[in-house]
Amino acid sequence: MKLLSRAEELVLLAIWRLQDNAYCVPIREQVQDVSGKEWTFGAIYIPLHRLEKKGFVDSFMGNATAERGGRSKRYYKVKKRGLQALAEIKKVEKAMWDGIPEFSIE
Amino acid sequence: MINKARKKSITPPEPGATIFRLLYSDEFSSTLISDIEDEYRIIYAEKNKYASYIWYHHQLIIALLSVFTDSFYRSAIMLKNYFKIALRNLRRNKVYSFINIFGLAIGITSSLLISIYIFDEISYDRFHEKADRIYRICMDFTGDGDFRIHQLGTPRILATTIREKYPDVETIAQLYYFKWTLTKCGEKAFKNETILYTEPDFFKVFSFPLIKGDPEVVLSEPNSAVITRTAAEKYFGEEDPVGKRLSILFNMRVEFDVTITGIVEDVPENSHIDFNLLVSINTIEDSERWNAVMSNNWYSDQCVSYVTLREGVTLDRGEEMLMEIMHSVVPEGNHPVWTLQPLKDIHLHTDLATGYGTNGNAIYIYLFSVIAVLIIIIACINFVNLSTAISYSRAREIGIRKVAGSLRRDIIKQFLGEAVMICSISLILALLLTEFLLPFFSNLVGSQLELLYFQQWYVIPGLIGFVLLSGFFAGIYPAFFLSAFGITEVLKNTLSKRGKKGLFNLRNGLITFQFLITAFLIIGTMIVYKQLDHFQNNRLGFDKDRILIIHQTDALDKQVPVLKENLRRSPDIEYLSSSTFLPGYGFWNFGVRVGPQLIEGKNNTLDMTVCDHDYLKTFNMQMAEGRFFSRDISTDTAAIVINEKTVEYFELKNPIGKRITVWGFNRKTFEIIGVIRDFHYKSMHLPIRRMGMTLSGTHPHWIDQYVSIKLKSENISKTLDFINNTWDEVSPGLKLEYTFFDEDYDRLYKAESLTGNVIALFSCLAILISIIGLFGLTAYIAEQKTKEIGVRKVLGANAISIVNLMVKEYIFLICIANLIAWPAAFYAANRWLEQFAYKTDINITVFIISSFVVVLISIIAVCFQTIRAANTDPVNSLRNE
Repeated sequence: MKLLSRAEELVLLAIWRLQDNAYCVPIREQVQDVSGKEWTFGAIYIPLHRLEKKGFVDSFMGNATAERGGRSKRYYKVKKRGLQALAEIKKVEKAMWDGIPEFSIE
Repeated sequence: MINKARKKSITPPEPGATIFRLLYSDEFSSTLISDIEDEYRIIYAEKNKYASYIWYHHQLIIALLSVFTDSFYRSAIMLKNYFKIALRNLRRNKVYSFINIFGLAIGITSSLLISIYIFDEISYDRFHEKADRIYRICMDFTGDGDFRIHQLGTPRILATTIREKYPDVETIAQLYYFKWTLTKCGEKAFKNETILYTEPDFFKVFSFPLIKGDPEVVLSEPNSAVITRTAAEKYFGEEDPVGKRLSILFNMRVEFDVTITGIVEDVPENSHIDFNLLVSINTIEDSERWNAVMSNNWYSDQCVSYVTLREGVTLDRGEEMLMEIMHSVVPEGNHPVWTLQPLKDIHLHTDLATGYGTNGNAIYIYLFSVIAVLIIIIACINFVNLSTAISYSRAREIGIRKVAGSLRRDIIKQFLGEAVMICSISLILALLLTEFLLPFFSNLVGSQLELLYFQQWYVIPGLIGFVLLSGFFAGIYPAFFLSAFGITEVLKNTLSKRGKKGLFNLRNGLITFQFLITAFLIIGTMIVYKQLDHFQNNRLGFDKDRILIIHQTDALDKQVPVLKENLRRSPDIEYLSSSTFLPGYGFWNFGVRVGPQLIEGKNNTLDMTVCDHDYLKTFNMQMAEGRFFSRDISTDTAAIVINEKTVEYFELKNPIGKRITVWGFNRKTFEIIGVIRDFHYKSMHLPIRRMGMTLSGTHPHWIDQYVSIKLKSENISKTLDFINNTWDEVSPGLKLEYTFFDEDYDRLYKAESLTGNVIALFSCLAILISIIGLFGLTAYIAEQKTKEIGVRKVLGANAISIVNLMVKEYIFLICIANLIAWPAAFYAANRWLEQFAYKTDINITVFIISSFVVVLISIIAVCFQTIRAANTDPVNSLRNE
């Protein structure tokens, strides 16, 4: 089992969902939309960085655009190991939730 | 949303991003910033400028914090573990931890105390704003024979000349100092206040802050004076002193009034110039009655001159200028040389016969620094030895760490960190100890020392640096040693105890070195004490016991004979004598003519004192030839007594009856009536030279300053009362000031006794640290060898042979250390003794005794544990249930 923190899991999923447009700004929006909370860039950046170090994602520089003052974006792409990790997480989640009695929070 | 951003190009606030990049920069940081900027543009478009501005910086700060906490958190996990293990180890080996920490703490305390002292000494005179550019003018003159004058006196006229013609000198200020005065304010009278006569430029050269008054004006008028804050309180209490008057009785003869025009802050402790009162120098010049004191020609030498050179003017240029002036005054022939002494060198590098106050001595600064470093080395050696010895018990920990993925680098870091941690604990302990010991130490070295953490910027970084450095030195060897353990060796328990075999391994080397230092310090201490003893008990040529000295009798003026007459009535006084100088303090040098004309190529001077008929008996000096002054012979007012050195130097065949003319005594000619045996009329640092004595009243200006009283051994306190009453009868309201001569004499060698005490203290500490180190080490080894000892005992060894087995190696090492220390100490002691004209002889017994002490103490330390180990019942050590 590849160990992932919740933040890492959220970011990894967001990258996968965004596919070709996965750079920090949309990733953050995606994570905010899903979790319904405000995330700072720092809070996104750390798990992103860590995911890359662990070898779950790859990053590459996009083309420079004028509105970024000539600086290019760093795009992220999920690697095979990242997909395996996601698959594993999904499996575990599913197994955990299977057969759980219904409950409601009042 | 992203589309909105494309509408305008908005430049984000730069400074925040720049700071961010400064603090954190890697390949991702710039994209992180651009990402934040993307969002910023959107917010800027949607909301107002300020909200987006705040948002942007909030994002930056959070990002920065996250980056830092993230990296810290990851390293902190390991750090926490290292810390925990270190504490566990400290707790497990309580005795050894105690020895390590305590030894280091003593070492650090010693070094701290010494450093505080040294910093105090080198801080002298540095508080002046222009300290870098201030110089004192010294005069050096070499004449015939061994004639040399090296002093501070400069003519008053020098200042005027320099001011007029030499723009390289920014300011020059001259000081005139005269000791014997009586200062009165109404009823209050104080003797010998430190009064300096000086000019307004004094405040331009030096930075003594005025509390009241304008520095330009306060000393410009005659009869004006500036008083220090404390002195003002002494004279005037709470009242404002400005405008008040003081009367000064100069040389107990000339009286004048001064008006206080300003108040100056008290002179700091670390200033070589000291004063209570500054009087305008023109008070004592420009008038008939002061002609004898302050003459305005080039041959006088009353003033000490301080100059501030302009920025960029070198010392050489300054001396060139002085040489020019000298050449204009003395165009040819042998002339004195004026030199410039930097202000900062004055306290530690002055070897003049005259000067204000006591000087420090650079030799002692070097000596003490060396001792401080040596003690720290000894303490670090303890640490190294104990940690390597105990390291075997930590071999497994290192093995496991390596298996779990630690690199050698990590283990080195861990052990260095541990050493630094132990040093930090020691430092805290040492700081407490220092606070506690500082008052005693201040007392010992005789200056007021304080450890101020926040006044100087370097104190706290210095302490931290010190801990890191000593931690590094103490930990570096154990760290490399321990990290080198092989995993398999350790875990299979086949670790060979490297470094234990053979005599010449590192640990033995370190122990030898440690005891070498210890022995060196102890031999040093003994020699310093021997020299001190030499000062006290060498054949001085005069007695100093049971002699009471009354000071300041010149204040009585014509009443001195009355005082003497009255005192003679007491049956408890054996002899008494009045004189201008006391033996041991040095006499004043005068030009003389021995015989009909000056002797070519010789130093035609004598050191002179004036005394009465009983000087010889009071101090119990011996005559070599002829007789001393007699009351019955009236012509003795024209008689002189010389010492044996004079006879020898001037090659006088039959000295009695020969004539000596003394220039300074109004060219009066004296007849030699006797030759006194050489006695140390000067400090023991200097060789005995030519000396002459004449009767009181023969020098035009000298009045006897001291009355020396040889007491009988009984009824001392009663005699004291008697002397006090007798004094009060004749004195004009002054209190009796007396001292005992032997105590005064000891004070002359304060620097040496200070050195003796300090070295003694630190040698004791050094040996204490070495011994507890040795104790710890042998205790640990004895513990390790309990099984071996048990087996040996079972096989029939007795306790003595076991102790012998364990002890002899160390004793051998310590003996070697002592032997190496001998020549080193001999060399150092000889260098130190060079400064004295009369030195104690260094003989072998000093070395033998000190080595014997060192060896004996170490034998006790080593045996203490081994005997216990040797006496344990083998059943206890061998039973393995």
